[in-house]
Amino acid sequence: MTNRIVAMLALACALLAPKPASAQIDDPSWGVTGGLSPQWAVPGDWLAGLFDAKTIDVKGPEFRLGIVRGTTMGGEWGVSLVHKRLSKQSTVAVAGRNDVLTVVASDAEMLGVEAHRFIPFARMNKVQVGVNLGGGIAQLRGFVSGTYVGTTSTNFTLPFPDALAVTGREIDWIPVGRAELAAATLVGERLKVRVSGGFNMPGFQVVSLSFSYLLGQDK
Amino acid sequence: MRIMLARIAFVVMAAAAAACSPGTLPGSPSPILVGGGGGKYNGSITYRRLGGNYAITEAAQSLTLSLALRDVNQIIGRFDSGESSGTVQGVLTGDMSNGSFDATVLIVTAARQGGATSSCEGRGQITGILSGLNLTWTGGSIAYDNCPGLTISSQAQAVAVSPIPDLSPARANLVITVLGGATVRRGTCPAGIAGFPFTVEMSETAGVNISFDSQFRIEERRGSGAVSSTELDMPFGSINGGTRRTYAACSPVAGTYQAFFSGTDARGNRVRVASPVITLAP
Repeated sequence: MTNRIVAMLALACALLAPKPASAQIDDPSWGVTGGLSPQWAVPGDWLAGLFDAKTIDVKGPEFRLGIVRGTTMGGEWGVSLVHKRLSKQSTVAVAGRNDVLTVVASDAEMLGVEAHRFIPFARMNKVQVGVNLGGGIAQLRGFVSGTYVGTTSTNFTLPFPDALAVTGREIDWIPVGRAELAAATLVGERLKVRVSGGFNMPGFQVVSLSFSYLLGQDK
Repeated sequence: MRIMLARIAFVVMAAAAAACSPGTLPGSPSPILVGGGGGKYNGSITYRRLGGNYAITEAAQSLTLSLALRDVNQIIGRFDSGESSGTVQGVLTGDMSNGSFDATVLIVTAARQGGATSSCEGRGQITGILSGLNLTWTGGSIAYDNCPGLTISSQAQAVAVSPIPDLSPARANLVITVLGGATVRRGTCPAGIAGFPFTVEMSETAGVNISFDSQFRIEERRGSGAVSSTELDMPFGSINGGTRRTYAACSPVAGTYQAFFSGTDARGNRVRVASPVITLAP
């Protein structure tokens, strides 16, 4: 599924670049942006303490869609809707007062808004290298399954914000953000495609693919 | 002409009044029938102190009891009796007009000691008989956790006064039932092993929110062994009025299972309920 999306995006890029680019948008211009990460993950237990968890293994894909303002050969900033889905293999072992509740994501997601900025610090022809920074907030939505494993197993279906209720906390919103190393290239006259990887709160991602399509006038 | 019309109107009204008078209604009022989904009972209850250095009222007290039949053979109810009130959760054999039941009573009783009055929270098992409009129950012993040593017995008689259970809108009513009935047959647990899978439903029926205590208790008997008790952290903090939640459980061995929940409703009333004793049939 992810490979198919990447292939379709690459095909779209090729179709949009039938001739060498000779024009560019030097004045800041508004545009649209989008992207996907095949998988972000919280590695190991480095965030376990933050969520009062004994172990945490959370992962899933991410999709982004938003608006952007920038230039084709310079930096850009924007605001995007961010959707992080938790795969059904995502588990968190939450330590309550007496027991450990094993929480498995059954239909859980995070939906939020993130402001982001791509800052290039090196340029080689049409390729830019820089950092992509962002921050925002996301709402926990959907349902998880919480199980007490014992001789008699007990399994509760819980709203995602209740996943940590046994610790006395309910989390409806969590901060999201990113700090990625990124490389962007201009495809055609208006389309920038960017590949990045790095920190993607609440985890890390190896690779993320983004595009920005600027709507301003050519010069 | 006007006088003639007035006379006709007078005659018609007189005839209508005669037809609607109580003495000429066709038939007689339907008798109260209990045997469907439940009923409201009025009667009396007597408590006897069996032990403990507390004083309770041992004279007969008026009893109001509402019972409802849920999910095949489970009865749930609430009673008020002067200085005591509580909930009843049990399993019915037969039907509401000709049957018997075994139930768990969770009760709050005003008990006095040294000039001070305490709200003692007790628990006991009762057995009851339903025969036509009549209900009787007898209780072996009710023990109180927060009033050490206090144990009482209870005996109640009541008559059905309405086929409609009467639940107070002033306090929450949390109902714990097992979907499909209180007897669970062998099946397959989610892990794929043979066992006794069942689903417990918790529903609030009075429209009042409840905040749960941080733990709930499960009591299990495996085979013919002794009852063991486990305290588990409550995985959610509240239930909204008029909503329901479910959880799935599965035991690999036959025996019994009962869950106890407690909390406080939005109006400050203490809430204590149990599931019926669930039989995991071999």
